[in-house]
Amino acid sequence: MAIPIASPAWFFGVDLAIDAFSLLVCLLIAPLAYRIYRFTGEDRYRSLALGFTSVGLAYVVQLFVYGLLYYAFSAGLPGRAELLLDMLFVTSRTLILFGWTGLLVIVMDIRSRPVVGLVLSLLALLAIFSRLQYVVFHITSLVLLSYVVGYFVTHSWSKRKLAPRLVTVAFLLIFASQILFLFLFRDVRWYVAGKLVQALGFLILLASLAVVSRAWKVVRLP
Amino acid sequence: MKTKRTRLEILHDMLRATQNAGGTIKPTHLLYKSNLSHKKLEEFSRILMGRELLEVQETGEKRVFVLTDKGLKFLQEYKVIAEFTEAFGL
Repeated sequence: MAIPIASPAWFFGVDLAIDAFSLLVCLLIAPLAYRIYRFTGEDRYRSLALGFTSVGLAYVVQLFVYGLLYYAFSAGLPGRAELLLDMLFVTSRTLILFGWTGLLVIVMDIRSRPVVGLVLSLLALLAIFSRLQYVVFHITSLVLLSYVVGYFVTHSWSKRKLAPRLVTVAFLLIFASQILFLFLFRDVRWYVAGKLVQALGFLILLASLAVVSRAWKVVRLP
Repeated sequence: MKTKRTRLEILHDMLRATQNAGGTIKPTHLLYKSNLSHKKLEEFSRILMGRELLEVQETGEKRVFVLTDKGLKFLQEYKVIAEFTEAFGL
């Protein structure tokens, strides 16, 4: 099974830069959430940290896979490399779905570990089957993110503050990017649009972190 | 109506009460300054001591809680932690 290259050739590299930027934002959020977890011992901070770590790892894998496909093996993949890259590609999708599940655990207040285990197992299966039909992955992402976005909308509405609103807008954009990716089969420009919306989403997520850290220089929790 | 305090807010209130008392506070004072039951005070003080944010000093029969440097640092950074918590609805 060949790994789908959705990007038009002129967009090669730009999409990788967007993934690298998304990775950077994840790397800023995850350690902060983990440090707060170490202080409070509350599972929701750990879930947030694990969620963003998982999404970040997914971007690392994607950068590696597409970096090789765009630049090292542009003429074609040797047999064994194809299998390896295919497995890595499925891994990256699985990690993304696991990451959204980390947020889902918070918004749905899921405390049962067997339930989380079951959800993760089913998502891993979906990621594998998404090799046959790519929309499976994006629809699953949409379903998971719909709960996350719904929670953030309700939360920001009640808080009426800038940082929660920015987080809400960021996740709405990430959600929208998944919708755009669904239309890849029509035209590759949908991929470009999806990636740009994703970049905007992570940029706003970064802005929310900047708002949070206004009165703070370097966070070093014990 | 004021909502129930989160765990983070309770831990913060305890550290703040200790700081306001000059960095050292008796258990009974901490109990009413942070508005906790005896059982909850024991539970949360164990958490704070486990994370080296608060330590206990015993001289004879007297027992006092002392704010550590780490505890002080946490208080300085609490605003960011609270804003982060609020931003993500945690």
